[in-house]
Amino acid sequence: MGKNDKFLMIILLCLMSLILVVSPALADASAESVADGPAWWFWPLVLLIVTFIMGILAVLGGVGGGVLFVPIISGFFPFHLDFVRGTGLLVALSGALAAGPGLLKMNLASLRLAIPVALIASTCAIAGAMIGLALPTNIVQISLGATILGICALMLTAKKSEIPDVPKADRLSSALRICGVYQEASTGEIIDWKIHRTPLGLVMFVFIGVMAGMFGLGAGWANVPVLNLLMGAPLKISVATSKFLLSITDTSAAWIYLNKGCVIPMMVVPSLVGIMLGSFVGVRLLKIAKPAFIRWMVIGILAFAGIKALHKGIFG
Amino acid sequence: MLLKTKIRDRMIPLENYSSVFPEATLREAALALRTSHCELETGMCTEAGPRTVLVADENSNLLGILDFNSFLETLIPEIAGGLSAKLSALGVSIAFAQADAADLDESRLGFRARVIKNAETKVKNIMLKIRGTIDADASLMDGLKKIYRNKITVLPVYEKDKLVGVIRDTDLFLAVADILSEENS
Repeated sequence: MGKNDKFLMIILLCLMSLILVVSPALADASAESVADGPAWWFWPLVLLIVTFIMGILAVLGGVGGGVLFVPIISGFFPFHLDFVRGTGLLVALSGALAAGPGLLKMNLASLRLAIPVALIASTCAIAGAMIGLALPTNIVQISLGATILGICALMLTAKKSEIPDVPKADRLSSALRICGVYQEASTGEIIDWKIHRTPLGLVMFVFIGVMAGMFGLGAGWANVPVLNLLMGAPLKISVATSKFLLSITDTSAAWIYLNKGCVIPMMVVPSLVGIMLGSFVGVRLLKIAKPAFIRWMVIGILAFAGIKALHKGIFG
Repeated sequence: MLLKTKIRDRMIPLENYSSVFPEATLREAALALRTSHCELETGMCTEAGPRTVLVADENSNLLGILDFNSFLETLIPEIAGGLSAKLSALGVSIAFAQADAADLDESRLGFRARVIKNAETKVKNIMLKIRGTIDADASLMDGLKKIYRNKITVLPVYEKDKLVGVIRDTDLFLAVADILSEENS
């Protein structure tokens, strides 16, 4: 048996033992639920297990934790959407905060690119969070369903350009000095990059910010295509800057949810622990293999969750 | 013997010790240390060679020091780095994986490519602070005490305000071993 097979076997055994430990507990809890609802630890435990699996799937499927968390938990679990969105923002934030220092140290996350964009996106995220909390839940649920289906379409169609061709930096990006240099580690090549279509890109971040705040999705799914395909930043810089951006945008929106009492530690703690542990395991698995079907599976789950959100919003 | 011996009698003079500027890269520092540690010019490779490189500015003011560990922590953080370095590397891998761009993650590059990339780190960003200095006319015993109290392996030696050399735990060990050697003979 190879080292990789052993590793997979250990993970499977861990998951099986987790299920064996949890299943009697779930049985007890469901027995109690007949009388006076499940025990206090029931939902945190379910969240921990579900988010652990979600963390693995997010990494293997190439999507952010928040994007998976909000539609799935709001669609299939009996939590109010406001609490799910508040937790979703913190889930997205945890991944961003874990990556931020490393990305800055590696000179991949560009502060020059991130700061003007973050200013707009975080302001709009605050507005989005306020709008999201003010609107009736069913309207938000319908919009969430439509957005999730849109994300599925984006995941299926959006292409990536490793180093986009930017013939000339536009006036705004030149004035803001949004440009940079990084060394491609695989080739040792020094890559000089600049961006174009900055005004249009900044307008896009108005919408991205509003959506991030309104649905608590994080926004990596939108940040990367806008930075890479529209504004012409290299893919590596776009991915790193997008993740760094999330730590600013999501923090702004999270304050609104926190202030309105929509962040419950009982939901947030198991979700964060689960998703981070799952992501760590996912990264290890990714080094062994990346099964292509997982991305399709994740898109399928997201589409189903999107339809479920639409259904829940329309029919209650 | 040990009480009477002065630091200046056992120290390595500054001209025999490698030093780099704070703006230098880790690559330059590593090659300088390799030369002084292995005494490559004379073709000898001895374990008594310096195991640290000094970081000094243009006016020879000592700013910091680099030891083997600080090199390895930066060059191969996934093996020699602390918990925070490992978590930080995992965070970066997660960021690229979640953006469906895992192939751009530098941790997936070969060992050689990663070492070369990490060697571009500036010395000033990773150098260790100087924890204690000693006067060239102090006794070897004082040096021994300072090294063990401060839990360090090297002590810069000053004469008035000028850096003149370095005394190492290796030199102190050899001085102690000399006592035993004299007794045997």
